[in-house]
Amino acid sequence: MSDALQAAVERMMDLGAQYCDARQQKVTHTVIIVVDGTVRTMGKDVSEGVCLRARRNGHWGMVSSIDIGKDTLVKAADRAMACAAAGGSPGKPIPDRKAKKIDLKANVRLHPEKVTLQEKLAAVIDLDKAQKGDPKVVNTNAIYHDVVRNVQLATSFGDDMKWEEVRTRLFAESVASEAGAAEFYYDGESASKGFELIKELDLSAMGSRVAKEAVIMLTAGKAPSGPTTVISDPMISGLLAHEVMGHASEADEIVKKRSFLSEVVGKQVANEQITMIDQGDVAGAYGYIPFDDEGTPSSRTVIIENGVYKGYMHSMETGAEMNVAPTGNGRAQDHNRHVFVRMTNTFFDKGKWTMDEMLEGVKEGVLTDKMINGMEDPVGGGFEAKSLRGFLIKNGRIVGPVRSFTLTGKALDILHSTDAVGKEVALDGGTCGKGIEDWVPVSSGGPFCRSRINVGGG
Amino acid sequence: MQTEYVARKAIKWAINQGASEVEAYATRSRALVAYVDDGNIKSVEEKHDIGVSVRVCLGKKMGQASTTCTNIRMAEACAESAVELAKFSAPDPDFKGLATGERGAGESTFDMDLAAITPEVLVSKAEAVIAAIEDQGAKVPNGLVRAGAMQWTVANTNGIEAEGKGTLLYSHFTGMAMNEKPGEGVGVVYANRLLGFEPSAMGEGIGRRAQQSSRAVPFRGHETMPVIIRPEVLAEMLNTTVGFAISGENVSKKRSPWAAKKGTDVASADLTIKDSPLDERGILRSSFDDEGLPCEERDVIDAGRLRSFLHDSYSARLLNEKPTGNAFRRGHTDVLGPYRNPLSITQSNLVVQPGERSLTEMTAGLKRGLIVEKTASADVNGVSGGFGFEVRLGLLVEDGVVTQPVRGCLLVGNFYEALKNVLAVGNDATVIGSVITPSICFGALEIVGE
Repeated sequence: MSDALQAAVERMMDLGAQYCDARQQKVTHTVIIVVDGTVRTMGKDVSEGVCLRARRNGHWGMVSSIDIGKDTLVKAADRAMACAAAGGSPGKPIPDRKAKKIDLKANVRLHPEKVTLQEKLAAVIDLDKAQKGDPKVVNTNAIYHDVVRNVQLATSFGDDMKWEEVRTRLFAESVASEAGAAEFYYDGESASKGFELIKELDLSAMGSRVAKEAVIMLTAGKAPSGPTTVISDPMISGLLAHEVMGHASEADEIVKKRSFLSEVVGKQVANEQITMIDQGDVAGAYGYIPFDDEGTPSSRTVIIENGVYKGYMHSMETGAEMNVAPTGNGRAQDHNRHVFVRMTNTFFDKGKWTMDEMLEGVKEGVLTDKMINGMEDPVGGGFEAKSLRGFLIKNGRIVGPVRSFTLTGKALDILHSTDAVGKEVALDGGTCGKGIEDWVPVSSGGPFCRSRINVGGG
Repeated sequence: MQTEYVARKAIKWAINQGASEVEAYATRSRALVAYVDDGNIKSVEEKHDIGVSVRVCLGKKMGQASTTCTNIRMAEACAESAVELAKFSAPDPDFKGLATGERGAGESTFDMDLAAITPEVLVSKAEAVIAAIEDQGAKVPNGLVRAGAMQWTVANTNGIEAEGKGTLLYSHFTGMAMNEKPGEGVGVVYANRLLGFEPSAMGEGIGRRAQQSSRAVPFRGHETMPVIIRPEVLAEMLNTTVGFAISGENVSKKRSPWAAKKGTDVASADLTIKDSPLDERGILRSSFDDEGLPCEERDVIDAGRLRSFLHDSYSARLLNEKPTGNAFRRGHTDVLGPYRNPLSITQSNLVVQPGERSLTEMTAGLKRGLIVEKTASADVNGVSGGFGFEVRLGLLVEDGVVTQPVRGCLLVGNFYEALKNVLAVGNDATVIGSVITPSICFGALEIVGE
């Protein structure tokens, strides 16, 4: 363990911290962006720093520093305790637990640090080039991003932990234009993997498909407005799982009774085909973490099982408040940011329906295709998601594309209305904020699901 | 370490490594934050940061690297890394060199009260917001008050060396009331001086909106009607459309729907919008952008007519225009780590010229309409202008007066089209990030109820 981290923890304990930790993070990002055939970004970012946390009663003092020397951190420990003294929140003590000694490297086949920049750049150029061809495609973009995150954690439990996380993303976006109108389409892959993720992709097929779909979007019509039968694709299903049911199942919202799911454990909240999970240990998923930022191992939390609400995601603090074990969901964006209860990989589990069976029952409806974004509403349980585009369904058949539209409604009404859940689960990686800040890598997903949702096309 | 020293050392090292041109951007910042949870001060946090970003050119090949920086060797390693990246890059035929300019130190806003704020003073401000929300009969699930101060230096081998320092205060709170059902009110404040933060006024507004929200009923039916959009929602709509469409990068990429519309009418004649870098209220108020180029006030839309695009040095050369000093790394809600952000073309302060009518007067002019106070999100598709937002708090207006808070409907439309159908511009200008706008009443937008 770093002597400096240990010294800071000991200092905070000497000054009366009921619990304290020192977390050092070094995060290295590599970004390559090619736009219209030109290399626009070859970039690297390294950030390193330490976050000291000290808990008194139910409140915290925190100090972050980029100077990780022992003397600096011991002085920072004093300031963390001074900050803790300024707080004023009640709370139950965090239960003691056995100390852990861990030293874990990321389980990846082609570590980004071992792959040359030429090889990374070649992949991005290939993906951009594959989008060219149709004169209606006026702008092409290909973006590569890898990140290596190394964490060291010392706690007042006596933990001495080190672990590494590796993530890789590749993304293509084309803009098509005709007669003054413009539309775009994107596709991408993201995973807790190394460069093997890129090696496994057919970049030519991916790029040409993105360009082709952007051109198709120029012919898309307006989506219907009003309550509609919707077959949500895994991305939109995942937004429903993540944004509404997931954020409202973060136990910090439960402790203060802000969540519409505060009193629902044991109650039927969805159609019995619905099972929902948050699982931080899904190997390879973008939201995979071996441990959360408090050193709790990631785990599988069943939130809904066969339509019945089961339980919440916890940090150490909310676990203590609710007398349950933490679930490995205490996460922070970086060494400058607060630990909150956060999701990892959040998804609806698979059902039994094929796409043909789902379509067969739809007289008029819409099939979603990819998302733009979504927004949480832990108080009201409202769902808002923007679909990148969709397809009209008439009499069980897909008849044509529609432009971007918004889906909204009460999440529990939507989940009670779900009458078909598909056979295959897919996860989509991205970043999640708490409110409008504190971004952490997550994935969300599920199978295709058929529900009644209010739709509005812009 | 002073930022000027860090920048100079990084530049020198990159030249030693063979770079033909170099730019370094170094910042030093301190932030103090009080987090509120369930009506109590949950966490008080102090953060210090120094870092540098280095952009280098090897002819037409570019590389950039950034790092946190506790000693000069780290700045030099960053410069070395940028040179390595440039070596592996491919030439950009459109690149004609880094910005050219001169040494200067211009205006900015640096408030000592914010820069030297103590945990006790910050906590007292947060407690004042809590008290004001609770006075309205609402509780406070969460909130934060963040004070930050930073200094920065940007320098390059083409003569630019600009320095600045600034302060910001960002606060965000929610209030929750329980009547027929729970309802939440939200408030944000952006200020560049401590005096610009009025905790009581912020809390009173949040508490009032929480009460309205908890009495809101679902909007039924499907109507097209005039809609007044409040600054807290409108700012993001303007940012993702006007801000998107006037960005030289989006114009050069042909993503902007206004790429060929300079000199033509793109909005109602009632609408005048300027980019105003030295507006006293502006969060990024300064004479220089983050390339070190001077920025000055310019008309973006003058009485509905599109007048100018915003540029960094690269997009200006691509489009044969002059740089406008609109390349920024700095953010509006925090002072930490701007060197990690890539340069992006954005407005300094996008200021919508206010009208003469108050919100009450605009409301009085409506036979039937909706005031949109809060939506789930407010980001419009900048390429097409399409949007559909879930209204989380709307106020239904009938015969000129508010009759009922409503929720749970979709506000749908195309914002580029809506800008051409403005009925009135209010006088309640509010700072929301890099946008300063009053409420605006749009002629006809679609409301889709449950």
